[in-house]
Amino acid sequence: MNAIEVKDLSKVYKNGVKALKNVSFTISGRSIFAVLGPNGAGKTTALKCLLGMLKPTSGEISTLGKHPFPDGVKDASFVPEEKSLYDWIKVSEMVKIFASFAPNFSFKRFEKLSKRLSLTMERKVGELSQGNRTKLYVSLAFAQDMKLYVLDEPTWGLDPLIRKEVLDVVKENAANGKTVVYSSHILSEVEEVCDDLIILKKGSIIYKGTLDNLKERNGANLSETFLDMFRGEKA
Amino acid sequence: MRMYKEVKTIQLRFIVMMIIMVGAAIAIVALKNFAVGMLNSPMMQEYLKNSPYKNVLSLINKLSNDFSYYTYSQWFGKNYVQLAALTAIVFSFPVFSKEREKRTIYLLIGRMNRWEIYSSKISVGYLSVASVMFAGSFGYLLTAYIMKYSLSFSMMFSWTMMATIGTLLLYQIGTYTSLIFKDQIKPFLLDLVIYIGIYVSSLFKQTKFLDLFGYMSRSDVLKGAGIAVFPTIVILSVCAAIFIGEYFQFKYMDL
Repeated sequence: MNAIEVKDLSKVYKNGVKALKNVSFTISGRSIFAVLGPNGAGKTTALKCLLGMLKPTSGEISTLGKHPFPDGVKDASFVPEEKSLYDWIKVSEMVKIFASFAPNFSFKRFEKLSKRLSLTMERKVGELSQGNRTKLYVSLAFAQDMKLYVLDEPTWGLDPLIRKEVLDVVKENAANGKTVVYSSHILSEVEEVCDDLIILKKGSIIYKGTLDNLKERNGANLSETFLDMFRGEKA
Repeated sequence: MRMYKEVKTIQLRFIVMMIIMVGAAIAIVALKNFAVGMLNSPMMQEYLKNSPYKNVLSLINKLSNDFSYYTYSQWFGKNYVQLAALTAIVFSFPVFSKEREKRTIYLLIGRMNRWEIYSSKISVGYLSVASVMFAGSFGYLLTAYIMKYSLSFSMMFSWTMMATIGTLLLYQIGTYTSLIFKDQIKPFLLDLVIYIGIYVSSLFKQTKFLDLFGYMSRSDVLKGAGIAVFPTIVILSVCAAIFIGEYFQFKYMDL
């Protein structure tokens, strides 16, 4: 069964920017699906449309069997590109606040994840480094037991050891039947975790399919293939 | 449980506004004799004899002897309403704009539907505004009781209710300005402009019906008029209309 179906999705912002142009793709359940592209290609817009944060200009989206806009997706957890949290409180209080409104949140799961990612609990959120902020956001998101995880740059600012742990968490969740939509600029890690992918360029899909097919077609790894696609171009 | 986040967010502002409101209420009652005594001092009396305003002395006399008049002129007709406006603006301007400016809105919108976010924010704000307003009134009443001043409860109730309803409208307008901007400065400034506009409207006959501050501090309560029913219904209706319109704007907006 498909977890997400997108048909002819277009998004034009109020300022006239065409962020997505007739984009269609499907994401099967229990898989890790990557959304790639250079800056400004429309990745974040696509992810926000999947979760009902943006109203599509045209086209149709079904996320976990429902139209996501405007009421959002009940069974999804989201890690946005900006890991913005409430800076004025301690991490432990942030967790309590998050638990008060986040569905299916488990303190036990959070505790396990935070230990695994070596998260500092007794500091104020505002005092955390970018890496620790990412750790906190990822721990909060995966402490929710959801069917779908949408991750935008989930390893931003992390050291290689913690990055590997996050990738392991992503893979474990997919192995446990969850669907993960993943966007990152670090292509080596995308290559490590994803099954299927789309590559966006100026709001349009220029590749859609499995990672293996892409590599086979180009006879190179994902990074080289990606660089070939965009050499000498901007998004 | 959903409201816990909003309570934590508003907590500090709530405590500060409570202290200011209750502190001011207590001070106004406690300093009554001092303030009136100053006006009654021989030097001031001599000065006021030459005042072009003929009725100043009789007003001072009224302030000394009529505690209801003192209550109106120093609290419900003046400081209480000014602090009410401050309360509304302090609670309302960051409601949505701060979440959007700091991008913490994605933390919420990824976990709650838009009605849950909207209703928890607005209801906690309403409760906080009403609590501060009632605390200011109750603080005044309690201090007056302790200092053995006699005060009509029904007058106090009328002023409190009208000021609170007016403040809820100011709060609701403030949350709307907070929704339409992505930073915190613009809604704050727009709220100030709206407040000035409301005040200016009271100066002209044609726009006097917009004088919300006049409604919040009606002087005819002193003559036993009670709560003004028609304006109250109109204000509550406008409040409800903004509440609904604002929700639909929030529901269908890009975040």
